[in-house]
Amino acid sequence: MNAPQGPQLLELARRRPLTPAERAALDAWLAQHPEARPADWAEELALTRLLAALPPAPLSPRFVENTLAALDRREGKPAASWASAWCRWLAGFQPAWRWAGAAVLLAAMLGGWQFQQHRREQVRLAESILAVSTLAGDLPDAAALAEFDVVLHLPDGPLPDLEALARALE
Amino acid sequence: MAEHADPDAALMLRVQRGDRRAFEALMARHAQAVANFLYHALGDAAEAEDLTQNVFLQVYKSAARYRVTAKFTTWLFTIARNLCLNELRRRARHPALSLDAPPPEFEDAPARAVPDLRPDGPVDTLLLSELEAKIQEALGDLPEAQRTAILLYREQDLSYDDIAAVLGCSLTAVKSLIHRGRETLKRRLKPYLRTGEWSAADPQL
Repeated sequence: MNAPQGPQLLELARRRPLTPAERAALDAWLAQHPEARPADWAEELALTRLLAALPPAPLSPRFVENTLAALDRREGKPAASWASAWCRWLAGFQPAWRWAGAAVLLAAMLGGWQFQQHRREQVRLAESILAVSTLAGDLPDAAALAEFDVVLHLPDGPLPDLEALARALE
Repeated sequence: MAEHADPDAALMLRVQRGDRRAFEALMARHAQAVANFLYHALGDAAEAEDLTQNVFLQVYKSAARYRVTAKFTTWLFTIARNLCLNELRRRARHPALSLDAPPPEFEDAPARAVPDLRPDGPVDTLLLSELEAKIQEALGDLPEAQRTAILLYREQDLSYDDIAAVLGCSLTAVKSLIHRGRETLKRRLKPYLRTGEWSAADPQL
């Protein structure tokens, strides 16, 4: 790989402290291109050194083991394990197939719900018929209700004298 | 199966098949960089380690969603940044005093004693601790996007494009964030840049 050139070294100097060789190459390049030297170049370099001097995070030497143990604990929970296995299985499908599967599942659930509703309706109807048929025992005979409509439409007012009617018919 | 030029991608493909060894290798390669990012973003070593662990647990859990088209470190630092943002939001909702923070009467003292194993004298150690605290404080006061951009910029492995992918913004925006962040840091840390006190912190100088 080629060694970084002037502009790349300028960029690199803001990212990390340069090696002595890189610094010498950059100084030589800046001597040839003084217009490229930033106004506060010394401060830029100093800031890069400051940031690079920040200490690394103190990480436990058993970090990897601890993380694997945490993973085991997570996977050890039956619900989590079942859920993660389900998620892994689901993630294996393309999004279009996942949506299609979800639509089929939703349709099946709606169908099931409607079927249950229908069944419930039927049971309720059967119960109503049973109740009516129980009551039917107390009702008058069907023959007695044959003239029901005629009787219903009789005009209001005093009833005719049945004996007088009988005598007239004789 | 085709071999991948990117060793991280190859390891991730093995992790997708449930290979714990590959997962261990990924942690060995990247845990320190993730921990550094979280440590300097949050300023709390214990929290940084806990979150680093959560980052890798999330990597394992979401392995199936990883696509080789994405650079692994970009994906990794995106997870790290999201968890970091969650933690910052949680802190904002439930502000709590850190046990590491000095009591108010010692506010001028260094915020945190950083263990230093180098055989420097006590004066150097004190200067170094103070300097680290000041840099950490200045970083902590930056807007989150600027701080994240600057911390990711320290990672040699991440290009401007990668940082843009992590932050979800354009390349120009990343350059602007880094520039503005560095300008603020230069203003805040000017005394240290001028006096050269950092020389105690950098044995190369």
